[in-house]
Amino acid sequence: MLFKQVLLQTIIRLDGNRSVAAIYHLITGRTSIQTKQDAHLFNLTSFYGIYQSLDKRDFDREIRNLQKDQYILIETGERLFPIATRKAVQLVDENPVDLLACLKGSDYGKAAHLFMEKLLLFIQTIANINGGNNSFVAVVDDRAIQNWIRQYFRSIRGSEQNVLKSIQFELTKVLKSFTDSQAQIFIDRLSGLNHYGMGLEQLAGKHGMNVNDVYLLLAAMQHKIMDIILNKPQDYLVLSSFVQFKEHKALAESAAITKRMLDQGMDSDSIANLRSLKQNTIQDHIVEIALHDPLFDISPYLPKHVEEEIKKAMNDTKSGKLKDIRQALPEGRDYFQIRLALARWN
Amino acid sequence: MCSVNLERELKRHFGFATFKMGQKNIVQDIMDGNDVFGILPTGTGKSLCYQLPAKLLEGLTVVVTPLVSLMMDQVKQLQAMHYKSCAAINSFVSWKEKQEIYRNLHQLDLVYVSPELLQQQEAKYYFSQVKIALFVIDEAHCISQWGHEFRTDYLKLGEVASQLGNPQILALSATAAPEAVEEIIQVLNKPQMKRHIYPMDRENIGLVIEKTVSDQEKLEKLTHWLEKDFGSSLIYFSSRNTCEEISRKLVAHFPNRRIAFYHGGMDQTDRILVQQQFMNGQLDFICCTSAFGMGINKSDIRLVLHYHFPSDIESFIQEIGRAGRDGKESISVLLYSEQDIHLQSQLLQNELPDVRAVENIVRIVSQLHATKQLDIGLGPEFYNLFQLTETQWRFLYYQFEKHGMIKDNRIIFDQIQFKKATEKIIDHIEIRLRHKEAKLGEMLSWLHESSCLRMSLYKHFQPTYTIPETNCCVNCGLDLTKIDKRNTQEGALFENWEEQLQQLLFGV
Repeated sequence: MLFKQVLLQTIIRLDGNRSVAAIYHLITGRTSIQTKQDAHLFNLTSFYGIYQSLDKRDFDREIRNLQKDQYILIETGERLFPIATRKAVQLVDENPVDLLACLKGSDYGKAAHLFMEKLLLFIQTIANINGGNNSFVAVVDDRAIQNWIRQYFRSIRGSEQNVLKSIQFELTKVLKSFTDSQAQIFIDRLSGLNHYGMGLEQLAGKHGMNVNDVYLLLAAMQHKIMDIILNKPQDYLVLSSFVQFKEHKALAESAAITKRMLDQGMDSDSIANLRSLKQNTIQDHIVEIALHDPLFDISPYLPKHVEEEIKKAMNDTKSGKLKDIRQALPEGRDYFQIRLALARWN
Repeated sequence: MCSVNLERELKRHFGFATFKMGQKNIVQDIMDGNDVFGILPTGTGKSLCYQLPAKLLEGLTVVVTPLVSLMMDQVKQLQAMHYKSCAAINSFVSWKEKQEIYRNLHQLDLVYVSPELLQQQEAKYYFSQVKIALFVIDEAHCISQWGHEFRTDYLKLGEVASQLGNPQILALSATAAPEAVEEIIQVLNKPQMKRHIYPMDRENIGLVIEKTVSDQEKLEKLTHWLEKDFGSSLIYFSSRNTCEEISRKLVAHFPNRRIAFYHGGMDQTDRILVQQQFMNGQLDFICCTSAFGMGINKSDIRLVLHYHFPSDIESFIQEIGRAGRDGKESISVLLYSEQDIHLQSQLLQNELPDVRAVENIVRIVSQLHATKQLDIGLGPEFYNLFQLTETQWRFLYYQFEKHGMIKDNRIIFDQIQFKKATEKIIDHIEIRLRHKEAKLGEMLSWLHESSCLRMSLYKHFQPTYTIPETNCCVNCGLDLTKIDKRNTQEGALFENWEEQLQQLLFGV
């Protein structure tokens, strides 16, 4: 149900303006500027990157099912643009899923995954070491996370007992913000002393859900947990130490370099030349900078009167589709300007 | 070198006082400078045959292993035993760590790699900078079992060895028929290899074949066997879908048993969790495909049941060999239905490309060449055009490379050469198909054996076998009461999740 709801809500908000592929990019959190901009433009930041490991075939299958059950219509053409039916709108209206409101993909998408991996490995490690079992197989294979946990253990040496008690207290407290059955799923996932937790398939089997729903349920819980502990880190000293906010930095590395060069007074042509990048790439950077930095001056690229034209064209066409807007504009206006305008109005 | 006291070294590095069957002879032969081929039954400590020499020989021991999970398990086990000078290079290792391992190769005794890694320029470069004392091919039957179709880099290992300065070679396996042994030796190009072949029959595994006529009957027989309540049980399937489907039916039928499924299409974390739960006694039955098992070293598996029979006898022997490693009475049950023949021959044909696809590729390539558009990528967008699976394309890719039609990931077009090579490749596909069909035929003829199943199963591999005292096979008579019943702990039931969390963290 969760997965279906996410897809339908996305399709409803996109209102036929974006293709099936764009939806997949949004949910898996593709880092292209187009996808990020879509998330802002259509008020879908909460779903951005919530399911990075989503299999394309699973996604396609679910879209076909929605089509078959007449929740969506798909215009066939060069690309596939889905439109939600009344049945879909009704389903979404009549079955509100509280947990979906917990999703904050743009903020937590990546961070939540890291948080959870650290938490899983930490609980497994501390419970086993405290219980005298040194021969357990780590449930998280990622070496970076393993190293992080190793360092963390060095930092708490001597107070493992207390940390173990704190984590029990904090987890219990934070899980009380959920229903018992949700908390149960979360606990079933955990590995501990002489015990390996359940995989997604197993959770799905036990709780009578499908795997994608289990994944999104856990994602939503992780986002909400992060919200709670970041609001009151003093109440969750152990849990909040697993949250790392490096992912929050606004700009991709390359765009940040472009911004520094622009700030030094270079123009986009010479930046492209100097960095051996295409002009298009630099334009992508500029759109991304505009999206993140409300004080960034776009007038050199988008004169006021052109911005007005675009605003008018958008109102006239009532469309978010770049192509439609462009067709309603005078000759000589390009997609870069339209995207820049859209970036600014978010 | 001969003066090394092997028992003393064994004690020093591993803490064991004596060698198990076959280990000492193999280690001694390696220390004497020979190339060795060792076939040792499962569960007898094959890895020690290179782990000890790796400590004793001057230089690096490189171990080629088919599965990432196998290398990770090995490294984890070794490090737990304070055998620190080892590492594994695979996709789970970050770029930075990989560089570190490469830079410190000269300080290591043992490195695990995949055959694919050894094809990378970077790997070739770093490995050629150090002295390689021993080149080990673990699970060497992969060369003949997988090399032709989906892991063609296995066939290049002989070439790799010569690029690495022709180190001593050790090939190890638990199951290889005499033809396979000779084929492997040929690939490795070491005709003088010393062969140490130990019998692979397992006298504590009783053999049963039951014929069924419908899926319904098969499911009934399956549940009937599971109701006998032997300890940990493995149930093998040839299809992922059936594996999941039957697993769900079993969950419904046995609400008090802990059941999970495992196959190669699952997410990596799920696979690790299910495997570890099984090892840890948290599961009673596991429904799986052949992806589960290699490197599973659980000693008390009592029942291995085949819902589908595998495509050759070697695979069957490997799979049932996971039962009864503790030496206690165990049983192998195969549920046979005639319909399964179609499934197997379908799977078998899917492993190889269709002859028409090969002809199509050649036709299109020559058209592209004529219009000077041959500069194309050879990834999925290419082979999907010809409706080839990744496996089929890998097979062809290797053949194209072998015949000089592909070099450095580019097509080298030459009308005459292409025509000649295509004929050869098509012949080769035919040969492989016939080979696989013959293998399947052997399996089928065993399924129809009316006298002793044991004698018939091992006759291709070895002249004699040990006659079991208790359970031989269904045709000779079985006494199932000699097999231990399940005694794994029932999963604890909790009042609520808070209690469960308490248990997870503190064990009480």
